[in-house]
Formats: sequence, C-alpha cells, structure tokens
Amino acid sequence: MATLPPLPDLLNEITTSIANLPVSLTAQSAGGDVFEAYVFSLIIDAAESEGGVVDFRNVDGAVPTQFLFRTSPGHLYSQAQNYTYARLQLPNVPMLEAHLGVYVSGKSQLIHEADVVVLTSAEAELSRTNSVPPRSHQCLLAVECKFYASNISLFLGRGFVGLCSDLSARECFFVTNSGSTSVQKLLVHKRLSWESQLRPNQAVVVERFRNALQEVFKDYVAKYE
Amino acid sequence: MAEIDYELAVASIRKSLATSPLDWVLREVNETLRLGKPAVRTIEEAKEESTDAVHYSTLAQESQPRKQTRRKTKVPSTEAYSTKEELVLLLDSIERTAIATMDMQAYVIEDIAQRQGLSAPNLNIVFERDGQLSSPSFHEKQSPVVEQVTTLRHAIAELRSRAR
Repeated sequence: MATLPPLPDLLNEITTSIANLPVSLTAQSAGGDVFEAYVFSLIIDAAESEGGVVDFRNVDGAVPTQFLFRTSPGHLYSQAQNYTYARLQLPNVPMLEAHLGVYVSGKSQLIHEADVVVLTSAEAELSRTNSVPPRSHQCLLAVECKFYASNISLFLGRGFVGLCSDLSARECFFVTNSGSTSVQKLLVHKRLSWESQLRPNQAVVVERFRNALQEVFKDYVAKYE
Repeated sequence: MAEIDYELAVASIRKSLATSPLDWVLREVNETLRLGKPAVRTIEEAKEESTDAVHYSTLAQESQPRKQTRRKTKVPSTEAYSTKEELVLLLDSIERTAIATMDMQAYVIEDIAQRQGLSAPNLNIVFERDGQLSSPSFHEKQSPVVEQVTTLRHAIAELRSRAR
C-alpha cells in the first residue's frame, strides 16, 4: 500500500505548483476570455449534434488561418480587427452565426453586450451592411458568461434579470464556472435559464448545458418544418 | 485531519496565493468569507393578538393589556465558515480558475482544430480585449505547463480527500 506524503510535503507541492503557473492560467482576464470561448465551443458542438454543419469565417469573409476572438464587447460590424465567428447551418433552415462579445439592441432601443450570441445570418448581414447592432429579437441565444474564483455576488444575478427583461432573444442563459446559492435562487424564482460550475471536469453540468442548447436549436428547426 | 492541520493548510495556501498572480483569487475568497455562509435560522417572533380576536377573558377584564403570543419562524441568515470550509473554498477556487482554465483552453483548441482538420499545435488562437491582443495560441509550449497543472490537480485532490 502506498504511503501518503506528509501534510507539509503536500502543501509544499501545491505552493510550488501555484508559484510556477504561467500568466495565461492565472490572470483573471485570461480565464474569462477562455471561458467565453469554451461556451462558444459548446454552442457549436450542440448545433452540430442537431445536424448542423459548422464553419468559421473572419470579418473579411475569409476562412481563418488565425482565430481572433473578441472578449471585450464591440460592434458586430466592426472591422477594427479581423474577428472570427462561426456559421451554423442546420438542416433546411436559414443559416445562423455565433459571435463572441458583440452588442445587441433591446426592446428599449438600448444597446447591451452579449458575451456569446447566436443570431440569424440575415440579421448579422443587415448589421454589417448598415453598421447597426443586431436586434435581440433576431437572436436565438444570448449567453452571459461569468468567470469567478469564488461565489458570485447577487448583483450579477440582478443584472442578468434586468438584461433579460430588455432582450427578446429566444433564450438567454446565465452561465458561470462558479456558483452562488443566492443567485441560483433568484434566477429560479425569475424562471431564467442558468448553469453553474460549468467547466470541463463537471461532465454532468456540461452535458446538461449542451442539451439545453440543443433544445434551442431543435425548436429553431421545428419552426420551419 | 485535525483542526491544527486545517489551520496549517489554510495559512500555507493563503500565503502562496497572496504572493502569486492568483492573488485576485484570494481576494474573492476573502469576500466570500466576509459575506458568510448562507443559512436559515429559526427565531421566535413576538406576535400581538389581532384586534378582532375576542376572548371571554378579554371581555371580562378589559383593563388588562393585550396578550402576546410567540411563534417560531424561519429567516434567511449567514454564519461564519469553519477553517475546514475555508480550506475547501480555497481548493475550489484554485480548481475553478487555474486548473479549469487549462482544461478549457485544451478543449477549445482541440475542438476548433478538429473542425478545421488541423493538429492542435498548429492552431493559432488570439483574444482581443480592450484593443489589446493576447499572445497567440497557448498550445505550442504547453507540455511543462500541463505537467505543472497535473501535479497541482493531484495534490489538491489528495488534500481534499484528507480534509473529508
């Protein structure tokens, strides 16, 4: 039987490992960026599971050789950088696009940021042609991503409740790598969609979120049948 | 683990986080500790009888003050985290940040590379935040990092199982 290392040795292993971690894993902004890209990937996976064909494009229309994801919000039509987005073609329905960190306009005509959004390609094209933010009622999905180390604060949940009241996207999700009993209670009470502890080692959570996304794509397809 | 071991572990991890780029993680844990653990408490609430309650005794002795009853009621509250719970908060926070970040990076790169018919090390992903571009890709130099994170992951799992 293997002997367990003494506690000081175990603690030393942890502290040494923490000290040697690269900044790409320790900066809060880096984690937040990757979390949004992770949610973006799960959305694409879900679309594919519903029979979708996925490809990527850059703002200039070319197939990307370098993937550039926007993590602070900007306009979908912006050409400041050659941003990358995904095109999702589900069977026999108008094409969709998935974007990271773009502004959308709400019912009140105010402009909100959406961490990850899926909208009709036609609306995205309209946005690009006219340099206007896409309208939320043409969005299939809007996802608010929160990357935190410890329990998330209630004000983040309250902010999401407010955001949802102005967005008319078919489905709005609040997702976090962390959790909070109070935020969960609030979102359940308000009947809003949420997922906490979303990270790759939480297989059940990931699967449940993917399934919820698939439902949204399934309903979109059903609308045209 | 004895209480003294929990204290040793908490002090050691706190010190390590405070002197690393993960100091923001410690700040968040401190905020969670400050807010306290959500709890429900049962309290006794004094309740004056309603004015339309008519009792024979009241009719008989009108000069007496109205009778008060006490009833138990549940209210949301908070309580302090124990040292053991503080250790769990610290371990959770490291797992859901540094370790999860590496897992998510690997997932995203492999997922996109697979779709593009590329091998993961040849995929170049860049993030733009407030006009600044991150360093390209995070896969090519990853082997020593993977080793580092694996060590950390195992050590945390080991400490967590001892803390049960």
